[in-house]
Amino acid sequence: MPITRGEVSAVPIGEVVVTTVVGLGLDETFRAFTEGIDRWWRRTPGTDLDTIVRFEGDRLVSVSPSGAAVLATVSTWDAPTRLALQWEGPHSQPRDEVVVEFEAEPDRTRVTIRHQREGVSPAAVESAVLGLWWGDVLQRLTFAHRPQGVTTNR
Amino acid sequence: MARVGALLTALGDERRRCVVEALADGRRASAGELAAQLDVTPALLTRHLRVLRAASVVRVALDPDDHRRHVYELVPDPLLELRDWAERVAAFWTGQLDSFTAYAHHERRGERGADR
Repeated sequence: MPITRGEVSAVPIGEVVVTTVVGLGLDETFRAFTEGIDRWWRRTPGTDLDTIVRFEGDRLVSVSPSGAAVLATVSTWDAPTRLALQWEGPHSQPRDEVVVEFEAEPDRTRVTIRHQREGVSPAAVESAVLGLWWGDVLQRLTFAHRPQGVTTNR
Repeated sequence: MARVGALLTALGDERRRCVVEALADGRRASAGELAAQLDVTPALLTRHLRVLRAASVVRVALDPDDHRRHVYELVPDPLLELRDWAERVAAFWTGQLDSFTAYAHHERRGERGADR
C-alpha cells in the first residue's frame, strides 16, 4: 500500500487543509498521532533540542528546561476519529481552531488537518466554491499588483 | 488580522465577489459602470460597495483620466495578507504531516517486524 506524503489538498478562503494517508489502522493512527506526538512533532527553528511535546490533560504542551508553553487547548477528543484544538502554537491568531480528522480506508487511514481562521464559517462562505474563486482572483490580483519590472508566473 | 472577519463576511456574498472579480485585474470602475456590468440597481450596488469599503476590500479614488469622476478600485493588501497567512500555515502543517507520515511508516515496519 503506497504511503502518500503530506500534501495541501485545498486552500479555501480562511482555511488551510492539509492531508496525508498512512498505512496504519484507524486506532493505531490516532494513537501514533497523540501518544507518539513527541516522536514525530517537528520543532520550529530556535526551539530547544530537548523540548518535549505531549498532551497533558486538555492541553498540548511543549516542555523545555526553560519552561512549558501551551501549543493548544483540546476542545474535542473524539478518539479515534477527531480532535479539535484551540490553536495557540506557530502562526496562530486568537480563536484559531485546528481540527484533525482520522478516516479509515482499506488498509490505511487518511489524516486531514484543517486550520481555520477566526470568523470563518465554511458553510456560510460556501468554502468549496469560494476556494476556487479565491485562487483565481488572487492570481489575477498578484499579477495586476506585482512590483514594476518584476515578472511572475504565479 | 482583526479585519479578517469583516473581510470574510464581505466576500461571503456572491454579488460582492462579482465586484471584486470585476476589479481584480487592476481595473477601476465607477459605481454606475459596476451596476450596469453586474446588472443590479445602483441602490443595491451602493449597499454592497459600502460593505466592501468597510472591510477595506475596495476604496474610492479620483479617476486619473477625469478628476470629476469617482471610481472604485481593489485594495490588494488584505487579500494578499490572507493569502500569505494561508501559505505560511500550509507550509507549517505540511511539514508536520510529512514528519508524522514518516513516523507512522516507521511504526508500521516495526509492527510487521514484530509479527515475524
